[in-house]
Amino acid sequence: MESLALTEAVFYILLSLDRPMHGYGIMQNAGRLSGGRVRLAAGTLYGALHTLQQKGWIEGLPGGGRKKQYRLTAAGRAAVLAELARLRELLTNGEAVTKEWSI
Amino acid sequence: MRKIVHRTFFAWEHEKEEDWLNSMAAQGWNLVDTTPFRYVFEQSAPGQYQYRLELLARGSAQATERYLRFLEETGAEHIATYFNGWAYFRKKTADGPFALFSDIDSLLRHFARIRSLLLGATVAVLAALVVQIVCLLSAGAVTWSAVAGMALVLAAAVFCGSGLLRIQRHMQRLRREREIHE
Repeated sequence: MESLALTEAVFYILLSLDRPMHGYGIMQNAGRLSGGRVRLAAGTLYGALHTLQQKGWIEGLPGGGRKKQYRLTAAGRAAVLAELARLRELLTNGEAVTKEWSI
Repeated sequence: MRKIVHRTFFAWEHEKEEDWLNSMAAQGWNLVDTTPFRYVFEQSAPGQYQYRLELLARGSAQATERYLRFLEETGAEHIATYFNGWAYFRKKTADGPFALFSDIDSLLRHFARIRSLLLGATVAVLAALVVQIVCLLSAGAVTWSAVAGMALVLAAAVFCGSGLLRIQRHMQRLRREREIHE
């Protein structure tokens, strides 16, 4: 089973799409969740949304209109949970090892 | 009040061009239109806008239009696009910092596009050089104008080549950085 780390941008994009959201909303949500630390740039976001759609992790919602909305697929949800498990492993190991560090 | 400025920036200098446009905006001169080497500024309050450039990915007019509309939704106003794909955008400073790329991978993809553009230009120049050499050989006689012509084209090829090298080095630096973080 492949275990590739997701980028922060992708992680926060996926985290934002449990409910349908449009591009600008995702940018704002990522900023909000990360306390302003993660700033998704429009160009990067556009590319990521395209790639995630190709991977089948998100889907674009039909309905012309101006602002296209996106939403997680079942595969996308699974990817987020797998990523959480990976992050948990990193955090657990990190805290256990650094606890032994002098200072 | 408007003013027109003529200035040259090469394909490998787009960040320098952005810095210039932003320093103009900081002084109250906002870019409102542009065609190659020609910039039209409009005067207003200083520091109102931030500017960014992007060499758009090749694609259908539809795909490009979709991208531009997406950017518009995020508050990036489209100023102009050159025939070769360079697009100019601005965003109100009040809306927060303006960037088009926020991770190394998308930056690398952008530089790869610029590199392709430059490579295409270099190949075209070299092809012109080959044509000139062929003409020279078939003409039999070496004229000053023929030699001068070749020297010029060769200089252009070397110049484009140096730009390519610069981009390549920049991309390598970015790739090394990528080994550590995004």
